[in-house]
Amino acid sequence: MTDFTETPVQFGAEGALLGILTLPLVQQSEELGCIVLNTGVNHRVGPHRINVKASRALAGIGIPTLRFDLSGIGDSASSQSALDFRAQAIDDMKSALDHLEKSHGLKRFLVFGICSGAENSIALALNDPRVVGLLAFDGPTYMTPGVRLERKLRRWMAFPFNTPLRHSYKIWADLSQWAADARSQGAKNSVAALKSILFPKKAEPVADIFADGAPEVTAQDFERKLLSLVDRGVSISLMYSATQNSHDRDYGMLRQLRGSRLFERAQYRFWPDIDHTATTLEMQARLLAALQNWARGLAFERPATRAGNAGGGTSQPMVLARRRATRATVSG
Amino acid sequence: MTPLVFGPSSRRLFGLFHPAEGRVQRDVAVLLCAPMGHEAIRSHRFFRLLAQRLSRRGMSVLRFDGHGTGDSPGNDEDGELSGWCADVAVAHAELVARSGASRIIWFGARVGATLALQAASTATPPPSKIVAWEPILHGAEYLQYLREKHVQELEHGHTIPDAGWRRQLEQDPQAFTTEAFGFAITPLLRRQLLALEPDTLVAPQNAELVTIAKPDDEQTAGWVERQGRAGASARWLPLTHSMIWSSNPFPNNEMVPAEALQRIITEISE
Repeated sequence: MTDFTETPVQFGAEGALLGILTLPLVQQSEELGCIVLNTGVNHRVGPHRINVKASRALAGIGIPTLRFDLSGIGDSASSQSALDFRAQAIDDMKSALDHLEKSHGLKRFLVFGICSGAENSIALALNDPRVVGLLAFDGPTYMTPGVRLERKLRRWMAFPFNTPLRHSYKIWADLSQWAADARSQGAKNSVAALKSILFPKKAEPVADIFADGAPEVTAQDFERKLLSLVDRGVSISLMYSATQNSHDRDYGMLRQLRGSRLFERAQYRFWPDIDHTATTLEMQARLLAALQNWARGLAFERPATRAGNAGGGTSQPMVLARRRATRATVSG
Repeated sequence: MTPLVFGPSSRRLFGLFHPAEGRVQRDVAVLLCAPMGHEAIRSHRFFRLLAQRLSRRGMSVLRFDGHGTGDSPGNDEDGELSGWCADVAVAHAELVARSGASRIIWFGARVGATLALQAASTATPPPSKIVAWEPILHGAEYLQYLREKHVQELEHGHTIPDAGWRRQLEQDPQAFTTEAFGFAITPLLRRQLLALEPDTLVAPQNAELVTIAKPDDEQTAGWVERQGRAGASARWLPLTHSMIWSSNPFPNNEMVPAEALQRIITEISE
């Protein structure tokens, strides 16, 4: 016996977007719902089926949750519009909120996303006032050169004693192959790598978002945008995995924002033992428990107090947000 | 494309039905059986494009998630081969009812292909043809492959991986046997996979079988030859392709290798 029901839904222009709506048997708040976003090009089920588990975990605490595919991903049709990918994603996510509002009367929304889903969760919150909370796992990072150097030094220090780490460097793997067999592919790769170091070629031009000159979100832009969200009363939880770094202290993933008041008002959490897609069942369980705890806190907040906080400042919800931030901040 | 929830109330399944399109509609419908675990996630787009292309060629197509997988009800821990095998037969009945086609073809990949081979004798009416892409014939080897890939995935996922994982993998045969790539491998599923050997898997006698595998896959080639000698209509089709079942999407790693998609469409459409 489960405490939720699941139904496939099609919505958006001509029903082009496909998702699964997980409805709790007992709803926590009449107005609060959640959407769970694609990670990269993985379909709505998510890596390791984590979006399914997240949807059921949220429904388990009384929050209706929709996991769905953005245009062109999974089972949603490609869009016929001329929007760029981010604008299209925002359009799709707003369609998801519209669908939940029209069909189930939901008015306030949480958003959960991993990697590209984390970036999309922030983009949606900036573009839709119905979003009252976002949990972004492995979203944008703004490390300083010092943090990057420390990460590199830690890897180098581990290098002599750590076989898998050594083999994560392609050049090492190729050289090892070369040492074992002078005619191996590794030998050829090593020679090619050596040539590219001695005679570097001009880099091939790259397209679209990876191109030089693509719009860059600076740390200051990022801070300004997130502060605008917390000022609006949006609960922000930024989580980072062990894929980003092995250690963390003093908000290392966002060190360029050092001293920002954002850290007083948003959750920041580094997971030294959970990787980018929560590969093991144990990692998944802990990440989902954190998601549930975060969402449960918001589900119990009354909409009236949140609305009263629209102008920011030091009203009660902010105090709550600050307390949550203090509790949840884990460094190192 | 129509999303569906079908099957007995105690074991509902999620599926996507692609009705036949195009000017010429054929009296043929195709059931697609996905792999298990990470390989199902990895190949989702392949299955979607395959279903779309086949439906445009006038064939109705049903793809579905077995119990405890994808969007179907159930948890990872509920997944096991005999249940999934029964799910194939249930999906087959759904496709027969929806399409009205008199000729049903099954396509399966990896464990999905193995399930198709096991389920063929239980389906009514039986499938007329099975196209099996790299079926898992030797469960113990597959479990070992999953263990190794699981550890590789963990190592890739950590800035400084735990050097002990690889040692454990090499020294302790019980290490990393209860899950693979974030999907549970229960004792029951493990036992079922361990029982899976080339000699225990028999090609159906009442369906044409096309088995697709890499040209250097001698085990599968040998199995097909033995099935043919035993009286089955079994054909071996070597196919070189770039699909990496255990990978995550990343640059230079095709989501849908065109050569494989085209070849499989041809085999199903013929």
